[in-house]
Amino acid sequence: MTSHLLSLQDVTIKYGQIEAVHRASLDVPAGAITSIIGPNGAGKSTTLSAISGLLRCTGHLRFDGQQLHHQTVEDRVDAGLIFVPERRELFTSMTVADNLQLGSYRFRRESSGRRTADLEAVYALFPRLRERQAQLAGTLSGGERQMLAIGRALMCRPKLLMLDEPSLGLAPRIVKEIFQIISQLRAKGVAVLLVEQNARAALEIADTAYVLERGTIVMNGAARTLASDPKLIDTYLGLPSEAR
Amino acid sequence: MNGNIALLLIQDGLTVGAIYALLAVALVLVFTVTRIIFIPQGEFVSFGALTLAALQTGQVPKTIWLLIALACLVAVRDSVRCIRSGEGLRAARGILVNVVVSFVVCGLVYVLAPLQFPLWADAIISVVVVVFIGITLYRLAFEPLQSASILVLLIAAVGVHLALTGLGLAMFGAEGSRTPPMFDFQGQLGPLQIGGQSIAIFVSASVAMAALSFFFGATLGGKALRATAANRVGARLLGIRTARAGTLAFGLAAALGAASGVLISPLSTIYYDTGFLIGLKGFIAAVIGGLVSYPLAAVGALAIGLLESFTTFETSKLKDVIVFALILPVLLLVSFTHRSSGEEQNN
Repeated sequence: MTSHLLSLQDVTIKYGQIEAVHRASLDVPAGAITSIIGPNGAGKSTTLSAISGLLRCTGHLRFDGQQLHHQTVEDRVDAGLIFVPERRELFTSMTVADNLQLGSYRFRRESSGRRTADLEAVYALFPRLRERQAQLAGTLSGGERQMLAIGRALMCRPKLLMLDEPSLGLAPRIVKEIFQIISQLRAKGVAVLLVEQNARAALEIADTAYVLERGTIVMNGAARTLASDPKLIDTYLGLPSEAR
Repeated sequence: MNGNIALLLIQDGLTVGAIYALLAVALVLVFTVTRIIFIPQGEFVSFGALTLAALQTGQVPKTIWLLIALACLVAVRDSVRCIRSGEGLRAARGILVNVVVSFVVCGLVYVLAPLQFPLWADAIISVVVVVFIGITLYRLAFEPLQSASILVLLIAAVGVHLALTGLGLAMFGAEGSRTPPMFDFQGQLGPLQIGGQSIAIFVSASVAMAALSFFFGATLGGKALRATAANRVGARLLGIRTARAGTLAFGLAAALGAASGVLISPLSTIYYDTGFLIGLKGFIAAVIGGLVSYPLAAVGALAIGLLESFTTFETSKLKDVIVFALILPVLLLVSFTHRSSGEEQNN
């Protein structure tokens, strides 16, 4: 087999009778950013939900050498497969610090020293979270919430971090900041699977990319090649001057 | 009514109120973690008290047969599910561990029961048995409904209550039991006689509340329970096993209920169905706390205890009517102060 961290083979996902994703196959190498782009409703988020275990699917799913078929969401988290959904799913009635600490729940039996080091690393990456640590997560701004969601996921020490629309609803300046941090994560050896509607920004930082249309993967390849593909520019990327 | 009688009534009211507070806290705990309005909470009171009464007379408490039956049902259900889904050995091992633990607990109680331990040891055994019943009940009745609506969970809770009341009658019979006081101490505070049992109830309730607030406020396990309550999906995505959170909540609730039963049984005769009424009063206190606030629920419980003790003195026939009528102004107030958002979206 190949050395891919995550691989999907002929994965089909249904909501009841309706097929949302049809026989999708994709590979996510370790230590790189892989992106799935495509229009609204193409099945991008659905794919991530299925990989995380929140949705059922048929086909083959392998992560880090293990079949995921019978594994629950929690088992997959324990294996290092961490998902930040579009809705962030923060604990809004708890403080920022509590949210982050809960990220290290799966290391609760470890000595607190390493967990504190993780927390410091997250605070170093997002200094804003340190300022807000005693605040309730529900009182944060949209950008801060996204930072908290990513920070909390990092507390899980992901092998693969799956981010669903991290730029959604955020100001361009914050988007830039978040994307910079995603590139920094790659430098630290974390693999990232990024789902984005903001295709241009995604292709800028990704190494490889897949294009999903109406539940089917229609194109894939190196992100740089895709970014200069005339058909893709036509449908998703628009003219460079239009961007942002 | 003179001052002395008033003091006596206050003491009585606070003692009973402390018991209601323990139950109210358990109800809030179960609701916030699992969204179940846990009607059968009061049954744990009866089961705890009557298990203790049986142990005190050297009999094997019938509650252990209930525990074994429940554990076997869970095992059968899990095995069927395991075979159907084609899951392997790991699941089978979990099923086996659960059954074996229940059998070990029951076996120990069976062997130890005739030995007539001191009261405090029997009290601990009773609480342990009821805790296992609580956990097994969750696994049997509520775990498969984890993603059901609040209404479905409530209906299941009513069903469990009816079943447990019937089983209570079958196990303990229609006669009530009373246990000897745990603390023979009688204190004098001014004109007031203070019984050791009242002090024990008050101290236990305070310790239980302090321990719970430490658990939820300062430990990762407690925060994980709160997180499960706040956002199930978010908790699962961090590897917090929500079914285990439900088990833990039910174990704690059963412990609080059984402890209440053990504490109250020297003060009044407990029948198989006494717990239900006590549980309902705890429920009113929990509603005063909006089913989310522990401190408000505890304060509400003390208020209910006081109200009950004074109305019993004035007009004992109407005491339950007045106490239960208290829920109306509370609900009215809540409906004015809270914007109704309908049932929350279930994830």
